[in-house]
Amino acid sequence: MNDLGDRLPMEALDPGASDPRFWARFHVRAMEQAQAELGRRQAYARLTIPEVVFSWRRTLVPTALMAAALAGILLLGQGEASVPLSPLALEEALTQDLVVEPIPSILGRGDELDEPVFLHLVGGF
Amino acid sequence: MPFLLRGLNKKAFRRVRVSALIERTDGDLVTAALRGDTRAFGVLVKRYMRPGYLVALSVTGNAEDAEDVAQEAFLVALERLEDCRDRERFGGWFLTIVRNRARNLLRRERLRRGEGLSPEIVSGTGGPDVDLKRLELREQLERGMEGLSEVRREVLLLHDLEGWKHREIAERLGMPDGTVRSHLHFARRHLRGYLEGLPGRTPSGEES
Repeated sequence: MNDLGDRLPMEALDPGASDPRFWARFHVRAMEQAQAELGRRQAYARLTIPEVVFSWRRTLVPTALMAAALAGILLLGQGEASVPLSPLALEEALTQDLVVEPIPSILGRGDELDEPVFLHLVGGF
Repeated sequence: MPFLLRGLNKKAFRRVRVSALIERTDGDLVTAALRGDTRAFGVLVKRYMRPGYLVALSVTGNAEDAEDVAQEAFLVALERLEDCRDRERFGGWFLTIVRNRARNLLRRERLRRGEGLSPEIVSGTGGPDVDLKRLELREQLERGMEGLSEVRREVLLLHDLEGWKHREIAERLGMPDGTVRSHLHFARRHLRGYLEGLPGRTPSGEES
C-alpha cells in the first residue's frame, strides 16, 4: 500500500489550515489554564523537609495529642485491671504443662553404664 | 567554558535551552513537568495538542467540542500526572484521557438531547478568511467519517493528518501494527467511496 498515494484530503479537518494562528492560540490557552497547577507544583518542589512538617502541623499536632491521650487512657486502664502475678520458679515454669514420661532406663543404670555402651546407645558412635 | 558562553546573549541561551527541551523524551518532560517546569509542560502541549484534538474530533465529530475536550484534557493530565506510571508512554496515556473525556461529553450531549432540549447550533470557525471550499470539504469529510468506527477515525486522522507512522499509532493506541494498517485501509476505502459517491467530486477531494 502506497501511503502517500492513498492519502485523502484530510487537511480540511485541520483547524490550522484555515486559521494559521489556531494552534498558537490553542497552546497559549492550554498553558494559561495550566498556570495555577504548575505554580502549585513549583511551590511544592521547593519545599524543604521542615517546611513540609510545618505545613502538616494542623493535622500532625492534634493527631499526636489524641494518640498520646489514647495511649495514656489505655495504660491507666490496664494498670487497674491487671491481677498481681505470683512469683514462679524457673524450674516450675519450664516443667509446667509437660506430660510426665518415664525417665529413660539408661539413666537409671548408674555405675553399670560405661562410656562405649553409652555412646552406642545415644548416638551410634 | 564560561568564556565561550559569555558571548551568547540571553535570548540565544533561551533558544538553546528550548531546543534542548524539544529533543527530550516524553519521560524527561513528564519528570520536569511534575516539578512544575512550565517549559517542559509547554513542549508536551506542543507535541500532543494536534493528536489530542484529532482523537477528540474522531469521537465527537465536532471541531469546537474537540477543541474544548483537548484543552481540558491537558489540565486534567497535569493534575493527574502522578498517575502516569510509564512516563515514556505519556502520549498513549494522554490520548486515553482525551478519548474518555470526549466520550463523556458525547454521552452528556446525547442525554441532553434525549431530555428534549434543543441542541445548540454548532457554528464553524467563521471569520472573513474562511475558505468556503475547504469548509464544504470539511463538512463532507466529517459526514463521511460518521460511517466509520471511532478507532478507524482515530487511526485515519493520526496517520493521514498528523503524519504519525503505523508503529507510532500502534504504540500510542496500544494495538498491533497490523491492526493499525487494517483500520487505515478500511477507513480510507470507506471515505473514498463516500467522497466518490458525492455529486461532482473526485476521491482526492477536488471538484470535477
